[in-house]
Amino acid sequence: MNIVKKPGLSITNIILFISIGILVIFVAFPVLLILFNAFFGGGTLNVKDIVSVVSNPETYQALLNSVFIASGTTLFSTIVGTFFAWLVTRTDLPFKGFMKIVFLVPFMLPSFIGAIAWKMLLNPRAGYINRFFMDTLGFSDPVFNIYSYLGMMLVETMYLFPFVFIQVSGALERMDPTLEESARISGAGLFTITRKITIPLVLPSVISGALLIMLYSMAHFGTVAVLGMEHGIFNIPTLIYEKIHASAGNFQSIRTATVLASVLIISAACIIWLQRKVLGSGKYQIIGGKSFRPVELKLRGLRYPLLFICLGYIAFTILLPTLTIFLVGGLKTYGLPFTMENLSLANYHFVLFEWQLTKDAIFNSVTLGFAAAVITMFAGVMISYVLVKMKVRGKGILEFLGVLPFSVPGSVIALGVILAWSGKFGINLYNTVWIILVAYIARYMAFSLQANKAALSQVHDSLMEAAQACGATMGQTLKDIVLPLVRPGMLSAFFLIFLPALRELTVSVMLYSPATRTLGVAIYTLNEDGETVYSAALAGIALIIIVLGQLFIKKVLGAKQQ
Amino acid sequence: MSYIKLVDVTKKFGEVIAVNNLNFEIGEGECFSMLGPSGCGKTTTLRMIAGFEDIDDGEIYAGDKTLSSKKRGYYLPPEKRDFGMVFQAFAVWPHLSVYENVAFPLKLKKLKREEIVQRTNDALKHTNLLDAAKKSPADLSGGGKQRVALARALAINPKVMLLDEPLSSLDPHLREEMRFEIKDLQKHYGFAIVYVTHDQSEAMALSDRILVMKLGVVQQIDSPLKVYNEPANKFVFSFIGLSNFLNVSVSDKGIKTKDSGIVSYPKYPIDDALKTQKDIVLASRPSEIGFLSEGGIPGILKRKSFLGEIIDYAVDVNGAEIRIQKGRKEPGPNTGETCHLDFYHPHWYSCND
Amino acid sequence: MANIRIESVYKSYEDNHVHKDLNLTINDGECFTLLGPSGCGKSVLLRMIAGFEMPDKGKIFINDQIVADSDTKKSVPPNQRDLGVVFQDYAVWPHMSVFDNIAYPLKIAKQSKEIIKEKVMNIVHLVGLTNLEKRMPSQLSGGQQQRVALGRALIGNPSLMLLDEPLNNLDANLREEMRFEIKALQKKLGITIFFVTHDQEVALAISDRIAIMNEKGKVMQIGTPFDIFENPANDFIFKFLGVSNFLDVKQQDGKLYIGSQELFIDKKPNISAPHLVAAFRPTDVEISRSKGIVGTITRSNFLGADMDYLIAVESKIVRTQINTYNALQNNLVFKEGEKCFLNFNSISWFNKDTMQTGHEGDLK
Repeated sequence: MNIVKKPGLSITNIILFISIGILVIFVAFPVLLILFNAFFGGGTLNVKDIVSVVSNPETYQALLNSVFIASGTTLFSTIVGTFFAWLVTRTDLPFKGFMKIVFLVPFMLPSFIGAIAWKMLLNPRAGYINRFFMDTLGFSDPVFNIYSYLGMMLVETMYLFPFVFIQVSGALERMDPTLEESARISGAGLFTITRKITIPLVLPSVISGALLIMLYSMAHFGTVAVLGMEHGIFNIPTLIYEKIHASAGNFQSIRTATVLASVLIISAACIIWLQRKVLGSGKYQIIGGKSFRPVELKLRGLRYPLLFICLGYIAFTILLPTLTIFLVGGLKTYGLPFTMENLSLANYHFVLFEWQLTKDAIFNSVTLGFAAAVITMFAGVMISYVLVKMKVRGKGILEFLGVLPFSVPGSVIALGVILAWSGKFGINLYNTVWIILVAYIARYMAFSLQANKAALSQVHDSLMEAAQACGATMGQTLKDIVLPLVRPGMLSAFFLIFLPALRELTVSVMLYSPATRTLGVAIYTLNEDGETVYSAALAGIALIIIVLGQLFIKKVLGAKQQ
Repeated sequence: MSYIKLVDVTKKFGEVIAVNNLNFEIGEGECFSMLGPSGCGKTTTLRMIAGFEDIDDGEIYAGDKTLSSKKRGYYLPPEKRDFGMVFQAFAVWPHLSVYENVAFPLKLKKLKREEIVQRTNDALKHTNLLDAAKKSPADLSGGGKQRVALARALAINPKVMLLDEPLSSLDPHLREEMRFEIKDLQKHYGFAIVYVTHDQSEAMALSDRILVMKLGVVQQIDSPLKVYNEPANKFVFSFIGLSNFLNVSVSDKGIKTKDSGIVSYPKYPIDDALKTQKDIVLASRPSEIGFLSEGGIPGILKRKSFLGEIIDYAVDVNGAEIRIQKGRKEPGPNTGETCHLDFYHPHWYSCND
Repeated sequence: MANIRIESVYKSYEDNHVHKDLNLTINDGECFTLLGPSGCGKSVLLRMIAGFEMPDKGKIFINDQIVADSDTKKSVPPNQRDLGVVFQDYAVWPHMSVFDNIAYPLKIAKQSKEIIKEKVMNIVHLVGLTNLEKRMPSQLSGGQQQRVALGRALIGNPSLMLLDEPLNNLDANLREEMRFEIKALQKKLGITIFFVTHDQEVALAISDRIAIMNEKGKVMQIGTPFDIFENPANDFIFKFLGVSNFLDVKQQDGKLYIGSQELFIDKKPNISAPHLVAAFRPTDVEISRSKGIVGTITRSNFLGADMDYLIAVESKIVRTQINTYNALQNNLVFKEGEKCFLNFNSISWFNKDTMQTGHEGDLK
């Protein structure tokens, strides 16, 4: 036996410092710069300036719009999500299993592509649906104007309701059926049980899902950029974009942007705090017990009408816009009717193989997504390891920093990296692809931390101690026990980052230069520039890549679990 | 006087027959346990009485009221059966206070406010929950939650309480205490209990009568003492406590093992039907075997374990392990020694059981 | 061959002093159990012996070699202490088959494939996992997983095994089976076992010697199971070791009284004090219908193999247990409210004024 000195300032401390360093440099520093610029823009705390920025009608209106659109979206999504969740878990609706999967599909579709599709369909003058009603059916007015608050709320709802759907259907499925049975034996009928027992019990899940939607929608760029901006409707992220792009470098614009971003940071922090509170203390222990099938409501005569509603919803919100994108992508010129002679694969061929701009965009997104995913995955494992497994002083700081990525919206990160990496502090990454990479790492750190922390907390300390007792050194324990056990977590972290990064718009739209367009930026800018058919063709290709990627993950992760 | 009555009740899940042709009656104020290994159909039977499962054949009555009848195609839903029920996982509603949980069934009955208050408080008083009335059930221990479930079930003063393994989520110490609380509540309120459990000592301690079930078929319905002392078959014997089984050959004079002389057993004679078989099974409890200085059935002591109040012996008799338990002060052999066993309360079963 | 020596070990977490000046010696080849209520620090001690924790003060020797010394801040890491450790939650690696789990210590020791295969298969048979070696842990029951953990701890031929509540997560039947198996393995292989548990039945069944700790981490008695059961050093130990009855006994003019009734016993108390407490187990009471201390049955409870009675004696409640067969044969089946008479087979005496635990069994 060798006598070995107990390690003092050792590897553990080095890992801790590196972890703190990564979070500080990538996340905390840019966010602090924004807050500093907003509050101390002139060198000292200047409340009057902030008040004047906020009370500027333009900023004020954007703040109001963000709140208004987010509130509407949250309301609609919660109703839609809860209703479908109840339908697929607690009734005898036909094809429930299939429906449960299909309702999650909007999750993987980028909402700005959806917005582009709806613009093609419901543009008051040129939209295909509106034109069909006006030209063919003789309506004097368009049936619906998508360039409206309601239009934006509805489009966002289509893509965000799965947040509530997942939470609520999960809660309804796992809920101990005896909670409802004991109400029944107490004399309560199905209606009373639903009202007095079931709904109150899943309410925390509903609220938590709703808050996520609120957070997401307030900081959402794509839909408002596509449907609102040219008609003068701005929310916070689009106004930040406008300020940075329209008047790059202008002190007052940056000032306004940082104040807006600060508002986003603060409201995001409040929402995250509220959501954790609801989930933490309010979420009832409703899981457990012997498993019997929960009480299933017999829909009887409503069975087929409700099935029809579900299928109609799926067709209208998922199939129709997707089909529109692919069809428009095949048109010679936007606006032509969808007839065989107008349709071809020429546009697809052009954007995939001929046009340098779109080829670059695809290449940029794939490499950026891959690099960000790999870097963030490894950084996430390390930071999670410190958070979950290590007992070192100074962990508290890391825990605080670890929450930060969750509450920083994309447009804030983009603004932050502009402030931090434009040469002011010695390094200038502006207009290079690196600045997007740096922003992606900050943006997706939360996903990586979440997946890796979950995987690591499954690895009990005794599993590692058992290896040591078997004669393994710390290094061997990490290699033989810890790494194999967290590999599924790392893999899912990789895909959780890679796929969203492929279709990312909010961050890259603020950071791109002509040479560093991403797929999302290319689709968006082509659409803005009136190159509608190329934009649609590229969007169609993006959708195919995303769906293939999703299927690939399913296969890989599915095989891993067996 | 019988209150609950099951006639030819059968239940199938797909092709599997969960409960086969069940017939029994439960008297008013009786404590009736259904005991068996998991999957024997005891919980399904309880859920048919409660009304959560429909029946595939037969009838269930409560007093002069029909609950389920396949013949007449009649089925009364659970909310109209007026039973109290307690579940294994407590099933108290976490969004309501203790008081609101207990008052819930009374409110559904549309009783007068004063009556609801009075009956809720009465139920809380008898379950020692008055001090916790305003608390959330989440703040109570497992035992506290199960008391809330009991109080809620008895608030409507039901004639029958259905208890589905109500104690198996509690730790052993609490389990014993709660047993007596349930018994005391029954004495006070006078309801009948239908109790489902897989724990034989729980069933023994609580019940007036026990039904032992296996694979959906009734094995025995008797008083606890009778089930223990005169088990109907080998399955009941083995399910009801620690058991020893020894193959012996039988003749007119008595029984013998390979190494023993012939031992006769006048006190617990062997059925004539069994006597015709050459080999039969001797079944015995660890506490009903003694050590003789000679004769009896010989064996070698493999293990002697001091367990505190008792000493546990494992004796090898022709390859079979016989467990014997004796008080710590009683004399016994040491490990490795040959000993002679006296089975003073044997049961006999056919080898083919 | 291994022994353990703990020399004046101190350990605290923040303000919580878990161990203060702890001294223990575990002899070569014995099964030594540390028995105590949860939270008494017994697992902390095991973790210090294993090397997962470092004592604040004091020394730990394994096999007469120092493995932890607070003076020099030296500590042999766990992987060099040559131990087998079995944890309460099995700690079987879920991504490795039974074979790979058990083989791991040999792989770390860089043994050849043939040797590994042979040794692992031996252990697989030894711990009763024959034909299960290719299974993944998720396909095993709790008892089988614990066998894998046991096999993994045994394969390196350690001279010392540390077991931390290894039977806690198993159900009652399996727990009984496994405790006999662990004991049999220990005898067969001649290893030293350091066993930590809060379950007195397990401790009594498997140990050569037991050390009992109180909630504060103080060792109160060390001895053989029989020794501590029959001659407990104090009432805490008596109470901890099983269901306990305590009756106040007055000593006056050489006579003993329970309330106003005189108690006749063969063996006089080994302590003399005016206020004594007689402690006894449920099976130490002989109930009869003729003579002895008078009591009234307040609860009769049939448990199958035993009849369990609560008997009011003077102002106290006594719990007794009588074998069902015996009760039926000797007309000792009592109903609630019936009068009965008590005699005592075995009594442990305590001085009432120096008792550590509160008074229990008062008539409610």
